[in-house]
Amino acid sequence: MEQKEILLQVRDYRVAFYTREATVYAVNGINYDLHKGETLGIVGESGSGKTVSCMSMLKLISMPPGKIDSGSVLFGGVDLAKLKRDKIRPYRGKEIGVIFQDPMTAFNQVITIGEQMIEGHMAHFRSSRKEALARALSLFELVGIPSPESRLKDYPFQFSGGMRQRAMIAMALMCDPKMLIADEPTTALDVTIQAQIVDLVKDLRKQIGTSIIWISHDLGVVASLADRVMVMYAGYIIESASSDDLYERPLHPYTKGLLESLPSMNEDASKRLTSIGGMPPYMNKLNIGCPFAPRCKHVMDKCLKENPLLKPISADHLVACFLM
Amino acid sequence: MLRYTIRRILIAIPMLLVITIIIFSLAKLLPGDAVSAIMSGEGDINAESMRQMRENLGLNDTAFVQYIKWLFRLLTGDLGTSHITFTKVSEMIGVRLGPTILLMGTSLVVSILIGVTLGIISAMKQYSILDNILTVFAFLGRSVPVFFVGMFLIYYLALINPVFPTNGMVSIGANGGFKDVLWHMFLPALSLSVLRIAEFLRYSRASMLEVLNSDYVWTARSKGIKERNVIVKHALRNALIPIVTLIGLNIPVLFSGAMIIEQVFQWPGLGSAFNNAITQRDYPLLMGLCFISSIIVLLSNLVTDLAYAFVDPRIRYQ
Ligand SMILES: Nc1ncnc2c1ncn2[C@@H]1O[C@H](COP(=O)(O)OP(=O)(O)OP(=O)(O)O)[C@@H](O)[C@H]1O
Ligand SMILES: [Mg+2]
Repeated sequence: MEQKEILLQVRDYRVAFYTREATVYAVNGINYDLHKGETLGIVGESGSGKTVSCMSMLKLISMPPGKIDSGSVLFGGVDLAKLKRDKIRPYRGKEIGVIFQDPMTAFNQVITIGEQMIEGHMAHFRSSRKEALARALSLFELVGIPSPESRLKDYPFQFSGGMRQRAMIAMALMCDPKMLIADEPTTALDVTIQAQIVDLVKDLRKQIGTSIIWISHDLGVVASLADRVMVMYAGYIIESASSDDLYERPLHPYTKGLLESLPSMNEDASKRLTSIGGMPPYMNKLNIGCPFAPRCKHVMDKCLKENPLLKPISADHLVACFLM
Repeated sequence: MLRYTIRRILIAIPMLLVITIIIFSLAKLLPGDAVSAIMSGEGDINAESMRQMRENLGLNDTAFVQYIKWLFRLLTGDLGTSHITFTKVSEMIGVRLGPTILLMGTSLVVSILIGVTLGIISAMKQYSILDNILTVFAFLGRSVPVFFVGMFLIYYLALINPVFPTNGMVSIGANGGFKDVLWHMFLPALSLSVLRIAEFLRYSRASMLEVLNSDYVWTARSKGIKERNVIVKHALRNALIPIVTLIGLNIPVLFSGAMIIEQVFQWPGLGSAFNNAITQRDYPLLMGLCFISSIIVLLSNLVTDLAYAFVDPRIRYQ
């Protein structure tokens, strides 16, 4: 595999929410690299810290109660984790674009799409409305929105769900960012529309070559899109591998469980789908042992006393489990 | 927007008609009539002269005929003649409408400006000392009746420290300069505003807090625009949408509050006329006043609906 330039380097990254009622340890010391042009998938159940781990890098979580407790997020030689709140703005939208889950609520319903498209461009490049609108128009064409000129003047509620998400993608691309964070961009859409959006992103990736972090709890979607997949559980990365490898040789019991609960992965139709028993933990205390131990079929004494570190099994396949 | 406006105006017409029927029926349902009210002071009145008087005043017609007559006169702007003072109701209302509108309008503008601003600040600094103080104020302000605020202010700002006058709209002998009116209006307008400020504060705080947590505000931030623009362009605009409706709902409340506060401060508005009309059973005056009040409420609803459509395109395009 060719050695690619690293765009984003995350080390020992921890984020917690300190609310009056409790402390929630959302991200608990994660490490990964994102290479130029790479698409990295992040999967995991609801509440596993996928959104927080990504959005907090751009300080797009409420702080307080949220707080980056430790670690570094190196992007182009700058540690985003150490930046003051008012110094992060040049990175938002310009270096790193964000695509949100629900295009219905992510757009401001009382402002036209065109107006919402251009404001980031105008802020970062000090461009005129006209220049920014021209850019918006070309991106609407790129993402395949019919009659783009008139649609720019429409309000979000006048768009269909799929078109709205196309517009959202176009908006994230306005400043030609080096990297995109896509937080479950297809979850709120119909299955057929989902496929269209995935195809669109594949297409765009070829043309533009941006790096993408694609968050999803749908392993099927991630499989077709990502070069590499990380599985998160309770704020930890518990397995990381190239997507092919992960689907063919899942190592962690949790990953195996996720794959077994996936209908499209189940080749033998007569075999029943299984779901992982138990509930994901409420992360109000840090684990001593393995966070998955309470739900794990293969739990051993050691798992309760010590949290396994993420360790390489092969060059490109890492897993945090004492079974390996 | 034009179609929406026309539709709203057309809907207002049958509502107005229903209101006239209600007003008329209510006046008829009240016990006694003008004649018995006029005569109640005098000792022996013979039935014949009372009958004659009723005949003259048109009180012997059937209710339906009386209503139709009244409605047609309304259409020509004739609100009838007072049974008590024998002056035209339209004139009586005409001279009093201005001061009431002035007092109400001032209170409304003041309470919107102060209440909404404080509410937004309170939300932006949630849980700060200022926020806590304002929340307590909003709670107190909503649990105290309007005349009590008026008396309280009179006591402290007119009796203990005689800074402001407590009666009338202009100083005796003065011809009503702007400053003089403002000086006289200070206490009544303030009494009237305090509760509205509390109300607007509470709602705009809640509205802003809700909006600040919504997805599109984070989307706006994710684009790297200035926080000030995020707040003003994205959050504030959406937070104000429910406030527009709230303001509309508060205009009738403000009107009834003005009727009370005008009595407390002897403000020469519709309030005293209402009082007289009720105690003296001056039905033409009472009906005229109710009619004018209804028009004020109806107009404010209309303006609210139009303003709502103006700020929210989802209404405009439906
Ligand atoms: N503002 C907040 N205050 C307190 N806790 C929070 C806040 N935001 C997130 N959390 C907590 O952080 C944890 C991780 O949440 P996160 O949104 O990252 O999960 P996720 O993996 O993205 O889940 P989903 O699939 O539902 O989007 C959760 O336990 C959540 O309750
Ligand atoms: Mg999420």
